[in-house]
Amino acid sequence: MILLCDSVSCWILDQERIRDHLLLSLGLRGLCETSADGMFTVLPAACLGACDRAPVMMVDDKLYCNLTCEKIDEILGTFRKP
Amino acid sequence: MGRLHSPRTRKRADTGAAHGNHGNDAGPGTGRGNAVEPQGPWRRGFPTGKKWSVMPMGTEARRPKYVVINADEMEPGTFKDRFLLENNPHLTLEGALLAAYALEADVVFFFVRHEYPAASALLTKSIAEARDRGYAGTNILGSGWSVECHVHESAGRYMCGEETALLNALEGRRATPATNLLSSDRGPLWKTHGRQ
Repeated sequence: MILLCDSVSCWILDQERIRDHLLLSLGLRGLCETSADGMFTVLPAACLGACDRAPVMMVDDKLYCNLTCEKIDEILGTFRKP
Repeated sequence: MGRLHSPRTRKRADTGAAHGNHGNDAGPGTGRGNAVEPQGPWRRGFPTGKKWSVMPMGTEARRPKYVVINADEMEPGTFKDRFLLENNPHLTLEGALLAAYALEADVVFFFVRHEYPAASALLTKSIAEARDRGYAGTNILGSGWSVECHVHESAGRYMCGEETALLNALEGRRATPATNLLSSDRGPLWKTHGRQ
């Protein structure tokens, strides 16, 4: 379960580009969808309360901060490792 | 216990006043002073003493009595609670214990949002540490007063930050807000003889 912070501090810090990259990487048309392999569901979240490290997302119980497109690739890669 | 002091807090501590308790006028049945409007950076719009004054006190009060700490922070752009809970959970615990003592409460619940697992874990650990040192649990420091502290991790959603919806969620109900203006006056948690 991916909770993508969808609130003001993250918006200011380029969240839309991160969001688009995340959705593209997972083959999703938009938020609130599940990837074809069933591994990831991406939901928007009210402020995750890590505005000092925005943009942020949670994957299950783990918080990932200061996101960039490269970090998104890295994070998703760790979950896809055999 | 927790330390996060500004010079203003240190001065108040030296004069024997705890956080949020600056008054020496007795509240109803408390016999230990009523908390008046807090000063400084902890100031909120509603005076703490007035809020707490609706709590039934004394031997006639229905038991058990609860203090519920709202850690369901979700306001956009806000992370003060996360900062406090993850960096100094003992300070929050200390404040909750002071409130519970002033209100003659038996149980403290920390209602923590689902997305703050680190805060939940740290609070749980802090409670265990406090209990080991005799600051929480049974017969605290030989005072005869006992209070149990629990961390409740919310199932999620923004509405749980509203206090009456929070209490419904704590009871395992749908997190819908109530129409009561003063949640402290809503009646007991887990009321067994019908809901208000």
